[in-house]
Amino acid sequence: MGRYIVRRLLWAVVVVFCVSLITFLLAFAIPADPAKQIAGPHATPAVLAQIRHSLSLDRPLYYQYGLYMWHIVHGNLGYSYINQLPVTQSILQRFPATVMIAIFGIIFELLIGIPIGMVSALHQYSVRDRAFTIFSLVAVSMPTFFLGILLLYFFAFRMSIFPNLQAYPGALHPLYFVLPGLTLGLTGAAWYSRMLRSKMLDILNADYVKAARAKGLPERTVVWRHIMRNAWSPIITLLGMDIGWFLGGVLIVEIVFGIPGIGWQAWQAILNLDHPMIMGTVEFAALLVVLANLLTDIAYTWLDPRVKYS
Amino acid sequence: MAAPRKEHCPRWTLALLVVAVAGLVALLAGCGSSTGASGGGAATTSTTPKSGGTLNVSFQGEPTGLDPAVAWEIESWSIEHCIFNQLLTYATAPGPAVVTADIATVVPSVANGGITNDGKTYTFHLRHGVMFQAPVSREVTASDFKWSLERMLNPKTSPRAPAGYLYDSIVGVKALAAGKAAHAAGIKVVNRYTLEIDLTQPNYVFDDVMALPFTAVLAKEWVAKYSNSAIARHPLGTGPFIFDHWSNGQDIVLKRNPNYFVTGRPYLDQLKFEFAASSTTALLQLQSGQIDVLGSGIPSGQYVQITSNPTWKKQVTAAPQVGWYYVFMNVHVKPFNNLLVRQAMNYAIDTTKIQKLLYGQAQPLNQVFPEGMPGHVDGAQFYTYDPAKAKQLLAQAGYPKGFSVTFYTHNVDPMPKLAQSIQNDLAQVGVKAQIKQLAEAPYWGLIERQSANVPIGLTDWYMDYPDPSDWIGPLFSKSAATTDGSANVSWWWSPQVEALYSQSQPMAPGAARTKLYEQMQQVIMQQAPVVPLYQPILTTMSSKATGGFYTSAAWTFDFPSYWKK
Repeated sequence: MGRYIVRRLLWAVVVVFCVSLITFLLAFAIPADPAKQIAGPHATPAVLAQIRHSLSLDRPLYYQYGLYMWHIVHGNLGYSYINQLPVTQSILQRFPATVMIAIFGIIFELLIGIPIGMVSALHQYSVRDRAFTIFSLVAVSMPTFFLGILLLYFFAFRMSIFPNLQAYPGALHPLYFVLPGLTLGLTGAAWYSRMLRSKMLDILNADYVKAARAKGLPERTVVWRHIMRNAWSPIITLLGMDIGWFLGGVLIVEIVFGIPGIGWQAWQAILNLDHPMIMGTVEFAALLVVLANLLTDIAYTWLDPRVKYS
Repeated sequence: MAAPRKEHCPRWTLALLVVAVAGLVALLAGCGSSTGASGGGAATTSTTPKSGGTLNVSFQGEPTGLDPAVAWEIESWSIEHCIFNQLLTYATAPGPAVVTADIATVVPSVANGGITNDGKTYTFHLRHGVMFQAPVSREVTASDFKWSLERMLNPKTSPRAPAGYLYDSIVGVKALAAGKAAHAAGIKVVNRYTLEIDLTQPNYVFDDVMALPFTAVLAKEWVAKYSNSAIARHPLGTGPFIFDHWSNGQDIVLKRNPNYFVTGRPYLDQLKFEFAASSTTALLQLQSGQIDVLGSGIPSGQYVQITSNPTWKKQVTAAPQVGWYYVFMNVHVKPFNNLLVRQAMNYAIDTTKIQKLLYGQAQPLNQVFPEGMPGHVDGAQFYTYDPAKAKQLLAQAGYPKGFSVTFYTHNVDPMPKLAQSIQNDLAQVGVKAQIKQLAEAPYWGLIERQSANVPIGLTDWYMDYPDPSDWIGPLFSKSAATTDGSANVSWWWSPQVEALYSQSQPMAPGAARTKLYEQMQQVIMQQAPVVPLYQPILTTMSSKATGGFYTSAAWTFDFPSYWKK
């Protein structure tokens, strides 16, 4: 197991390196001039040339990439072209808010998705099952930004239950993250419940469940020990993907609720052709996805003793 | 005033939001009048300024920085206007941008002896007792201005200062900018309170460029304490507000400067700028009393709802911006190398429909110079919407059945809307336009390269300073028409305009000079390298608790003049 983890971590380095190379090439493939973004629409060609020179943008691509990697090896992700702040510092400053959204998002996904999935599966074709199916359809189809604005309008503006229209107080105020989390969670819960429902329906007809029932085990034990234990795997898979995705920044939710997280920062960087910031945020997100996948794989072995990595 | 950069916020996402909210609008309209923690009732029209309080401002997108030598966008300028002073400034009052004295005692003129040597020497006398803010807390002198100007113009200390070219006419600045000199010989400290600036030739926009924030005075020791680039995050000047802090991605807070040299100002104790990404959310915040000024305007999707709501329409301020949106036609590319085709485009595009599409955020403009720019002729109309005439001209030009063309636009609101409307109009006269939409940054990169041969597309231009040379030079001059990266994307110029333009340059502002610009406009509109679409109107909102609110032609927002009721 230890060797497996070490090998996966080494792979993570390779993956992040490949991501950095692709991002770098893509950022340069955009036929636009970062100097123009920095100096504004009225700048003269001479000023633009000066800026290009000061950022080494007039050097060959391999030189620029080499320089970038050299800095990374020394733990330096560079400085933003636009606001001159260190990229690492900017990312770490915004990370707590993103973590909070992710935590609340995942809590709501599980809290809503799992009970719905279980009830739907155990009472297949009942009124509740059909109602939950409709809920899932609506929640999956509704665009995140629309759902976000609806929640914001009713729970923050009309009823003033949540403080989301007040100035953003920082990541340490959990109340501020309930609505953003719910926005993510409702959509996620719909997926979770559908996945769980179908997986449970498969298992319900399995021989070992019949055997358990035949032994006269109480229904509760049958459900939790025999059905759920085996139905977790799709949930864990989804969860692993979500953790990586959410921690990499959820742009739309951040924008609707005005939360300065990593997604918003990455988006601004892309619009501004802020190469160091684009590279930094993409690599950071890639690293999180890789780590989340690794954790998921480890979780499988813990849930299902049959899974072994060697 | 500022050439606004629009790249700093995800506007297409916001446009999406706005569209999505259209459904919600009906809902809002139903209950909007009764909403708001700030309570209903008419805005009190109290006109007596009151001291104290905090004004909360919402900006869509964060300023790039607050180094006055570098920043060049609406958000930065309106905050810098609170922290810094120049020798000259723009009047802090509604109406056109008028240059007034700031730290200088008076605006130099020939009459007051401030302009001598045939318009080539400017003498500025400084107010006594103007102090840098704490903790520097010392008096500002003429050498501080020399140092600040040279810092802004020297590529070694300020490699990104984008506006150096505006000061090219100062003796020695070209050498300084080229790195061949450490100082500009033309900037002379006569004594502690007198600064003299020598120009290579008379320059009648010099007052204007000296009123821009690029020339703001900074304290040498403060810049040395941080660094030239870090000053963007640690600004310290002489202005009415002292920079307190900047939380990355969150807010900027300024506090009242108790030692400000204008007595009784500012009114506010504190100014807080919050960064919102969604203008829809910002509007909800204003309606619930959390913010006082909508720094980025009313989202166009909610404009109708707000302006028809009896409570909120009183809080709306609308003021034309000195700028224009227009279609450019590349005069080197077929069929737009044909004058008749270009004129036909001017007849074919229904600009009234476009103004309606923009819900009161646009006013008619059928000429080159917008209202507020000398050279503008009230009510001038060179072309009217006349598809029959357009067809006739196209037939004359040899295109009786029209033609097919790729029409270029970027994807930031309102451009895609405009492009679709124009596509429809062109179809009426047989021109099949296929819209090609690009992200904003690559779009400018493409259309500003002559070899890209972009035939026709959309662009805009906002004023830097209220002189029509700011329109002719970058948009219609020969030098711009022959330089890649310039804003003359029609690549059009004419000997006639060149002659009038050089004739106007040494002339003092006044009727005779303005007349020349009117003549240039005649030529341009007759030659039709462009189709003017409209002049933008900035519609924004202030809370009922905000006093003295107006939008300034120069600063957009003049926070030191506002108060909290």
